[in-house]
Amino acid sequence: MPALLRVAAKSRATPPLFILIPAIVAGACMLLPLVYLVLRALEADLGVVQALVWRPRTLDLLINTLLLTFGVLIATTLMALPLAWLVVFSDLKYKRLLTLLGALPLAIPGYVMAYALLGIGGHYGIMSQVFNYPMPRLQGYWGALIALSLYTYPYLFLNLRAALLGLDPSLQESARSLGYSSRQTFWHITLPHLRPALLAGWLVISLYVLGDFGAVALMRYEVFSYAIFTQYSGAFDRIYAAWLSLLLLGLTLSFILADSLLLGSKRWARTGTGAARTAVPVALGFYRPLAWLFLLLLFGASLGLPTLIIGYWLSLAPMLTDYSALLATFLRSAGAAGPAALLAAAFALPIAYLSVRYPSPLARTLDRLAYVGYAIPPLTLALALVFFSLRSAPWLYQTLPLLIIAYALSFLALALGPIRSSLLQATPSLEEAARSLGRSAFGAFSSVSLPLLRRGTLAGMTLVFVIAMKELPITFLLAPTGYTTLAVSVFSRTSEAMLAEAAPFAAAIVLFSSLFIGLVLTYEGKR
Amino acid sequence: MSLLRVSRLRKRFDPQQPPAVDNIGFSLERGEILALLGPSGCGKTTTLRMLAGFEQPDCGTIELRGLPIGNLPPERRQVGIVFQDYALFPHLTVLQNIEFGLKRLERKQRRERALQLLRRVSLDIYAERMPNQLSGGQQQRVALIRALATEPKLMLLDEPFSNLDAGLRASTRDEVRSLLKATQTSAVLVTHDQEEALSIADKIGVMNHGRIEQLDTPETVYHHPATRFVAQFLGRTNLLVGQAQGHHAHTTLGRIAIHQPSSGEVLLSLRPEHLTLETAHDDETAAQIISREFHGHDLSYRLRLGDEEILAHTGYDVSFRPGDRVRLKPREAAVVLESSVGCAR
Repeated sequence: MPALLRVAAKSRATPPLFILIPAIVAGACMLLPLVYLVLRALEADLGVVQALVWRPRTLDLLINTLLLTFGVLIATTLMALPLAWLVVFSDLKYKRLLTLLGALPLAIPGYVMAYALLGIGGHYGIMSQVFNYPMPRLQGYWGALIALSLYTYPYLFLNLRAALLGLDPSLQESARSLGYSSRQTFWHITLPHLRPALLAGWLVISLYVLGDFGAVALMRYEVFSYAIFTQYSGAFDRIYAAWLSLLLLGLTLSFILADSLLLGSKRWARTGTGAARTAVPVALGFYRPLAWLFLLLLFGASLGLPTLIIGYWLSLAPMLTDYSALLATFLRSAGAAGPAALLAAAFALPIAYLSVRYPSPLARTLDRLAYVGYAIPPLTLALALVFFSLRSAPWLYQTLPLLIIAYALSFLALALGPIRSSLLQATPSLEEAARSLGRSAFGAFSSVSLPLLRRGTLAGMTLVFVIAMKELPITFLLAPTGYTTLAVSVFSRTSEAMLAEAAPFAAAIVLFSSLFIGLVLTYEGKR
Repeated sequence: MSLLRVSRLRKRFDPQQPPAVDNIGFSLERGEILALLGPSGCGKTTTLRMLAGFEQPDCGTIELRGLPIGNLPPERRQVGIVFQDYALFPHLTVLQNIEFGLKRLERKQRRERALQLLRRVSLDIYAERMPNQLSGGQQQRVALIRALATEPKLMLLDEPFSNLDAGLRASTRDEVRSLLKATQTSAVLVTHDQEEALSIADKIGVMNHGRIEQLDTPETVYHHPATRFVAQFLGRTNLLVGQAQGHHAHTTLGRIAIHQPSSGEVLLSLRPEHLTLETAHDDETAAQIISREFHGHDLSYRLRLGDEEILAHTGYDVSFRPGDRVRLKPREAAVVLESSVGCAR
């Protein structure tokens, strides 16, 4: 009987309880705080809400947020598209190294990038102190735009590179043989085929920009997330903060909707997955120096600059580094990120298992919920958890467990990916064989499927761990008093213009996050 | 008493669709091998999965040694299964795979028994290898040994030879059959390959649209197909309409013998190898040769007789040319077919 029929047959079976219950618990954990946020926002008097929401400031925030998001999308496209083309199609040397350099800025979070940019200008900036060339501080819109673009362009680059590598060279070759020049081929054939990759990359980047808090706060550029934070921490108007969070959530959802609409309206058939034939490299000719100049500027700004500034401040004030404090801070970050990784895996395993082995509307919903957690702006999620814990679990408020739960919910989707792909490799017949050899449903799962999922689970947990290590907004809102992490240390010192004091923490984050890039690249390389 | 008795088994996945398995019943004696043969989608794998306990029947009973097992979970049925993809646990060595089902034994005994079984299929030197380091045929044998190790009352095999290349298939088939016979293990095997079913099984159940159309020995199923579907699914055949009267029927071939007395209009099956050709003397029932294929040991002729096309496999000594007019002579009695249900062909 064909495999298709067997899958259909499986879908009618009921999943075992030891899978179903944890999966539903994970879904409920995701849903509860959001429901709470909505309830809290709706609690307010309608007139008050109208007065709060319908004012020019909200419109300003909306415009600023959209300006920043689209600005970053344009800037990252201008960086990522030429880089991806050069790395895949040109006859440049060291393509492997260039790819690594193109992915490496992911190790430098937005707030560290903002820190580096802030360290250029101003009275104590590197330009004024070292080069004796005073220049104003880079701040506001352009500061936020540059910091976020330099940090997020690798997401688009990696997507575009994968798409270009997967492009069937014979498409371009047929266009050339039909009389198109190489430039016309790019516009008429290559670019349209990049559409899904562009949309995917743009969506990830806009989610980051909408959710980012560190870079915009340091650059003092007023967008939704910054306003939510000041409302919450300063003015303490929680109703307004809740409404702003909902507006930001709505904005995020409309980006996701737009993405799926744009993607859904036209589908580009994928050609066969046979052995990939690589295209003949395009000779750059006398454009070669231009290409190298582009690469130099791009990597200089995205990698050289932060390294230089961090190094400068570190060398300026070596005695300021309190190594025991640094270690304690690192351990605090790890102490929250580690359990979060475990919890995320514990949530992701049953959800992945359910959606792969027992596809049903419920399984699909739970699966979607995991991605909702990833797409929700972190501040919104954190605020929802604050409301939830204050109202129904005050003993949880400002405790480490709540912070860990928040991390796990926010990064659940990252753990889901690797677990799902290793689950797809372990065929159902393995478990059935174990059943016929005398194991119970749970016994078969734990003796056969679980060991096979070990690698995927570990990969997922590491991803969550490393990304939680550098998380800022959730930590800021939910960490217990005095529980300062690396990210919070960089942010609070930089916002008080203590750039030298921030340097060791920033260096620790960048060094540690480079591990993350190594992982992303090996994971990407395997697919 | 039969070892396995299945009756009125039915399974429907989609209320909009006809049942995948429709009122199936059969029984199996100890040591017998039954092959369920049919095209894909005929319900044979679903039947197998219901026997194993991976699928719950909507109704019907399954009895193993007189005890109903239909409601038992797979692990308590004492039914072994070999999957099409063998389902060897990739994280365990060959030896550990076989020990997997022997957890009731002590560690030392477990190892001894597993090694003893491996020796039986001369794979003991691969005991410490990982499954992916074995060839397809070796993996197949390990899967079989793993299932046999628990001494199941019944063995199920799901398309067991379809992942092997043609050269290996025949020898593995022999080995599996002799292993099952040596251990006196009854087996139900599912396949779409008629040659496989004919050569390995003691009994064949030909399935179509969720039903068993005929259940009998390979010889009977081949030589005396019950329905038009069975006749056409197993090998090639010529279908003729005739007017029966007693032991003979009037067809386009003239008056020919039929295997059971009938009367009225009948549908007859006549295998190509049961026909031979003679030089035509009268023009009345003469056929014309359209083409011929020479196979060395025998010959195939396509002939036109009236509006119909007839296929004949003859001995090496029957030699005609395309265009020749010949007389078709049956060497065996034609088989009277029942009107078959849902016959697609």
